[in-house]
Amino acid sequence: MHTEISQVDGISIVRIQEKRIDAARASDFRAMFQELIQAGHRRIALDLSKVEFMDSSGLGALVGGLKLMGDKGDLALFGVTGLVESLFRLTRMDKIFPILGNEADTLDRLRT
Amino acid sequence: MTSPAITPVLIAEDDAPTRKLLAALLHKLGFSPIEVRDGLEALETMETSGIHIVISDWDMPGMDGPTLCQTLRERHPGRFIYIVMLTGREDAGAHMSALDAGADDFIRKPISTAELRARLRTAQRMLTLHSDLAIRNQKLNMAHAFLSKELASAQKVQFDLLPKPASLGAATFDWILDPSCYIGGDTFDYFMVNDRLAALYILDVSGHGVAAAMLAFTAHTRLMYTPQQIAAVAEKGEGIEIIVREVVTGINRHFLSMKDTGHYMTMIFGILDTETGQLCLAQSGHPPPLLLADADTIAQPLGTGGLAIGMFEFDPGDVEVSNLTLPHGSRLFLYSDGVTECESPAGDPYGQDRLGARLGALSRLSLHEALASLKDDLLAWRGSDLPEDDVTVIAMEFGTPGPCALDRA
Repeated sequence: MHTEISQVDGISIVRIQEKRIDAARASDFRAMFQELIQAGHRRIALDLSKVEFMDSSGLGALVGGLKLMGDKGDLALFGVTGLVESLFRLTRMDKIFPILGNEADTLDRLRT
Repeated sequence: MTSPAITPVLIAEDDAPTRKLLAALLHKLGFSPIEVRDGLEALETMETSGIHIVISDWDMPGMDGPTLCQTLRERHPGRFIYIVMLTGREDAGAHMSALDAGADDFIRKPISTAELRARLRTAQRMLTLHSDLAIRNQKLNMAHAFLSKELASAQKVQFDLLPKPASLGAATFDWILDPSCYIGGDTFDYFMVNDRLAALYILDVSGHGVAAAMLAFTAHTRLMYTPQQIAAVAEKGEGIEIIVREVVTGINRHFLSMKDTGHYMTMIFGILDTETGQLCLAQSGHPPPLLLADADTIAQPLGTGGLAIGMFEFDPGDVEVSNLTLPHGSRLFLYSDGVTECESPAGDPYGQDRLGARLGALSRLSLHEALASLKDDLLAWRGSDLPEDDVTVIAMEFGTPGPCALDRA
């Protein structure tokens, strides 16, 4: 899983550099959350703007990541477009994850 | 593994004293020498024997050493043959051309026992490595064949669980399924729950492979036992919407109670009153059902989505449902995401809009013919025999079945 991680005000911005998150990458995606949490990241802004396609395995890994965070931290998403947005709408993930329109709003959301 | 004591070595050498000397030395080193006088004779012997090591002279009448090398490589591409060339020449160019022709090693003339032993030890080691590898490959091939057979029979069991095309009251059901080469987590069913109500569903467990298939089977089994439960709720005089909400919430609870498998499933579950056409469908994150209400129109999606099964707790009130009364002659389609995500060679997905339009265009055909035509259309779209994912479409026609049903003026 190619990612770029940067820090702003104690918030970790994780930019996914993959075009597809499917069965082939789902376990990497899941492991990424485990590593982030183990490394002490507690507030995560996940940038999905590079992701053009996500299948059910990818979504399962994302939900797994959210469950791992549990009460310990906060996860917010931005850059959700196209097919990924359709998938999120179909499965009502827009009601489960905070999904924001841009990076600034996402950071504001995680600051509070 | 080949033991040195019985390893045969072919000697191709026209000069009789050199050949005899070589044979004697090989014998002393524990090999079994086979003597031939030129390249052509060597080729002939190699055709009919299982020899793996060849020592060949460079210059021979009829066919010389490099030509023998080249011909052996051409005629026996998959066979392990280790070729050692005898050479008196110190010319690097000649060595290069012998290597190009397929020689593995060289022995200088006059032959020293020490050098011959060293060269043959290398040949023997290569031969042993090769036969070990061949044995390992054979084992792998056997294991692969065994697993493929197991998966194929698991897939067959999965298909055998699917319902046959059937009429339930005034509703006629038919379906197509183009399985991918992998076993997967797609399944569906339709059945009567009492003398009037029918249940129908399609579900898809996330991911692929055996784990997804086993979970799909678990859900299938669980739903098989719902008729009594549904009938009991119905007897209390509850409407079909309450039943649908209860069943979906129950399945979700069941999935969440299992140890977290990392899988979840999407589903469309519905209860149909087979007399009146009253239908309630629950949308659990599955691609939306398409309804073709009139001939020659476009099949329209029902509902926009809903929480998937096995992700989060929810109450019956959270289940998203669509209530409708099916007009006579209307058709309802449930399908797997393998249909809408089916990609053309250029990478374009088939998509829900195209599917809706296609189903509308096929509305004058019988249900069976329309499905067969859609299957051909999807095959033409992806341009390959095996789909990436299971391609499943379940069609239900309400009212008088047959091609005339939609011919209402």
